[in-house]
Amino acid sequence: MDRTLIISSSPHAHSGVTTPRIMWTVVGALLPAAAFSVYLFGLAALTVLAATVVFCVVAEGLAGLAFGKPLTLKDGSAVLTGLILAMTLPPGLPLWICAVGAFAAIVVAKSVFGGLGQNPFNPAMTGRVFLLIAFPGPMTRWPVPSGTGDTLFGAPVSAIDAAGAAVPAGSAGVDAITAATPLGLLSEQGARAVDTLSSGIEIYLGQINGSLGETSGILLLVGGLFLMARRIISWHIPFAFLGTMALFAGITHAVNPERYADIPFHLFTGGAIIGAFFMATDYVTSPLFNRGRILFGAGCGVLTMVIRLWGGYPEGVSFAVLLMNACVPMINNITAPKKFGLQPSAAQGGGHA
Amino acid sequence: MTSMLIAISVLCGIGLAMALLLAVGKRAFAVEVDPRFEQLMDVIPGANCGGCGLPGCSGYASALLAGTAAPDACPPGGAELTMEIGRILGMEVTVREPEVALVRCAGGNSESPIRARYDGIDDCRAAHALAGGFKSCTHGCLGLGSCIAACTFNAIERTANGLVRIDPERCTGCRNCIAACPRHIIAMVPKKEVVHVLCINPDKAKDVKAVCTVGCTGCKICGKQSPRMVFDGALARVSTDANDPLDPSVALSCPQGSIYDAREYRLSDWLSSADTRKHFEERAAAWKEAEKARKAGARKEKPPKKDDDQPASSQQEVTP
Amino acid sequence: MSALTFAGGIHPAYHKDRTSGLAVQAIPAPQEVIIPLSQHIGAPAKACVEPGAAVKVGQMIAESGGFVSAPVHSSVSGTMKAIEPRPGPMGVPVLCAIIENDGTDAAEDTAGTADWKTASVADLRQKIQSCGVVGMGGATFPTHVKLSPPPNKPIDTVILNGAECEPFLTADHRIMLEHTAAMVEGLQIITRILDAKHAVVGIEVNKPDALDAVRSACASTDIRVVPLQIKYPQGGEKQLISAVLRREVPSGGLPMDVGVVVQNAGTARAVQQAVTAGRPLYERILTVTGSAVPEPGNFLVRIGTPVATLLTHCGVSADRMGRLILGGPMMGFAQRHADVPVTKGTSGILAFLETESAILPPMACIRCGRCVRACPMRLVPSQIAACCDHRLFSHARAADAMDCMECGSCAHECPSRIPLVQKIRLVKAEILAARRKTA
Repeated sequence: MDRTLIISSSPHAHSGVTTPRIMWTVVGALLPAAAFSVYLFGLAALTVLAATVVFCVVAEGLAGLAFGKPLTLKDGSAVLTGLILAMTLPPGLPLWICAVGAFAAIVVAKSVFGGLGQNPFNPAMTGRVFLLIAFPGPMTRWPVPSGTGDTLFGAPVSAIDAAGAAVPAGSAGVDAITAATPLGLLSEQGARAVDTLSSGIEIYLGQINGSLGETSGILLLVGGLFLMARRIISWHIPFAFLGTMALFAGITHAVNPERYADIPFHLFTGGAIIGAFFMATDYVTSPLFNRGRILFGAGCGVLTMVIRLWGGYPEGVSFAVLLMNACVPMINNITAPKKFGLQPSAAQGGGHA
Repeated sequence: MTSMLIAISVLCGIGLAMALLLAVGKRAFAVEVDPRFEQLMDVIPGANCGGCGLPGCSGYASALLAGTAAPDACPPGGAELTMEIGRILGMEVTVREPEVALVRCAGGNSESPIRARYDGIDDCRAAHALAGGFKSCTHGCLGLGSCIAACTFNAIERTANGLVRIDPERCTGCRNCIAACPRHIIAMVPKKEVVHVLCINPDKAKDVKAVCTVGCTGCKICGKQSPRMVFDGALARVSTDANDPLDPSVALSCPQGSIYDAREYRLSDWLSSADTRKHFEERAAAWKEAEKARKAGARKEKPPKKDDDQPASSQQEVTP
Repeated sequence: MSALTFAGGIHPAYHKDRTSGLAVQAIPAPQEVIIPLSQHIGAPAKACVEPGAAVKVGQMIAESGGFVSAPVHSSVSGTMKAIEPRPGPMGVPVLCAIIENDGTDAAEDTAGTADWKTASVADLRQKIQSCGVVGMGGATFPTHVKLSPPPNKPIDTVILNGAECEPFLTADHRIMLEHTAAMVEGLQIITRILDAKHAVVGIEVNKPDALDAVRSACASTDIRVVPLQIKYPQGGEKQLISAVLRREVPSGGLPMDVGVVVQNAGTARAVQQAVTAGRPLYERILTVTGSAVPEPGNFLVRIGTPVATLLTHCGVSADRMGRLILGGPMMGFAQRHADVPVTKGTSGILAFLETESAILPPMACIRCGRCVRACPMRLVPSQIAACCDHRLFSHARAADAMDCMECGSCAHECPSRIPLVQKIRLVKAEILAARRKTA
């Protein structure tokens, strides 16, 4: 026989689900929400999205060269990191800040740990938190979505003034003013300032101001459920995450409705949905076992609410996810299943002496 | 001011008390250590290679003091270390002949072609376990480098032709690579030895020739050149019993070119350079011509001995 | 009754439709058979016929090399040409008897046990052993050993494995359909030998015709037939016991530790033939299929038939073939050429097209946990593989590797196509080597 056969170890069959396919599917699930943010904020959103993705891919390529690793651009992980990072940034953010964020996400959070699969912290979250701490000004300047005008969901304008953010932005060609996010309002003013919000439809549709991915809760939810249906992510983390938040918000709202906002407000503002479905579920930085995933999601939910209600920042999803990332090895250790044959079985010994 | 003084004196007091405690503790709980242990640790290389068969260099030092390890058991240390150990322990030592590891296979991809496409991890043991490996020869070097991973001295490198080569200068003789090779190709040879049979395929001549162009067929021609060439079945080997240097004709006489002579070629060239092979073949052909002429001259004087013909006929026998 | 199953496992593409409806077809004995002398786990058999001697069909050519061993019989009549090493199914050369077929099929006289219901158990075991019966699911463990549990391990249940969970393979399916009575009788013989109270047949629900056939054959007996969910590796011994009886075989233990013996459908038939007809195991039913096989089918093949002969019979063209596998796609062995013989453990021959045999390099582990969810032994394959990469063979996670049965579920699911099974095998080999060293 002239041609040679392939010899490989069993199994000789494969499911066909590959890492690049998973990455690109997640990218696809994020696209509707990303497109909606472009519809809302126009060019200001598009430039941030495009630039962050490109910077991330470039950073991945350069890091690959610098660390002497084979180039892994085609697996889509850099594109995904870029997209998720962009979704956490405010529209109209100066592009050089996007570049810094991409560098932090890809090089600092991922490549130095050994590349894909080795990073203890979610790269996109690391990038965002890095920017939030390094550039608090630009990172919290939120342009108002076009079309909503300057009456923000019927919230009193004085509230916006009090938030001290009603300054014309003018940057990135957006004809809009900047304003506090709903969570910013909540943090500053208490629930009274926002209680009208959750009764309106805008908050669900995403007609609110905030970072790109904070806006359309519904589209993100659709993307997340799509991933679940495709078995890319399991229900454990998102449900535990959002469920814990809901529980927390429900109790605090019941105790003091004046001060604490209600459940829908908390679930549909800020990064709760994108965080629960797209960030906390990052394979590399989340637990391996389902029991651990529930623990992880619940921890994220609690930390998010604690930061939101009593912390110094109005939003806490990214901090919560990063803090829980740090706990993953421990969670894995305490939730590892007992291997087969170590559990006493129920029926054992029933039939014989 | 007073509070500062109090703080300083309290701290100093605590420091003094602790120092005192430590000093007392050191006396009270002192562990008797043989002073020779430190001396030994100073001279032992400290590579923790495990070549002595003990857990690390300190394990070797302890075993030396306990008298359970031989002073010449550390291969990286070599003769120098053996002498040192003998001096420290005050004992008579015999210096062992330094040995290095040798990969006894020269059948690269062009000599022993790849017969299957291997899809799996870069590990010889894994590939060997899979249908006997991807090479024609089921005894030859797979070149995936399990030995390289096992070598703590960076003495092994891959060649361009799908083999591995051990640098005898860097090899300390720790034997870690020998255990790593699933095909048992690597063996220890005296460092001063210059002629080696680079093949371990024990099969019959026909089977060897079917899978490799440089495999030893056991034709025993080299045995005619030197009594130091001995045979394990159909496989030639350089015996270490005697010390006489081998004549270059031993390598030149091999019809398969399985015998490597370090005096003539660098090992890296021998394994992967086509030019070197060609050069060798020309020399071998020239040598054979000369040998034939010499025999013809000898035949004129006396009739040919019967065993002179034997190599030629056995050679014909094995040609398919 | 709803279908039973175990925890974990995967749902591979099964590809059984091409051959599940094809009746077993006998392949004419080839001109020359190559019969390996070691076709079982345990001590190799010792040749007992000299080269040059005449042999008959069913004549013993190599005798058992110990208790955990099995004799080997000739599958053709003719002349023993040689006993020499030939390439075996595992790649390394193995000692084989080469027998030239004279085409007469003159058979050795054999006699069965007149009434196995009254014969002594020792006689029955002896019969099974002398006929060289081994586990025919692929593990080839000598059956008489499995039927001789120590007295302190009483067996209460015998499970007949009709799951056939490996994709592509349909040989057991056909046995259950075409040799139902023989198989059931074999199960009864096994139950009698083991003095077990219960006998159960487990069949995956993707074989409804087999379920019906076995049910009706067992109607007058007290054998229970249970439908099993379609899931891989449903036919793994430990998984089958877990599904049927909810008993977990302890780590490092055997089914007999929970009072169970599992036998494959083909083995039950071989037991029946050995006991009732005294017929040695010299032929078996197997499936030849795969994308490179134009005419797939289930075949009755003499042991020792070269795989190449079967491939030619099925119209396989060698230059379109990219992979050749003996056994199923999940646990079978890749071959580097077709010059290997069919053995007692060859449950199938799969040939795949070159065009679908691309080598895709593995990527980094993304810790997605698919392997963890797939593992029927509840191990963490990715971590064992990491132990392999970092040569931490004594690490605690690596120690779990000894529980791995190499079913391949993890590697089938791994999106990064990491050869997890190969790495785990390496870890297991290293652990065993270390144990031997310290022992």
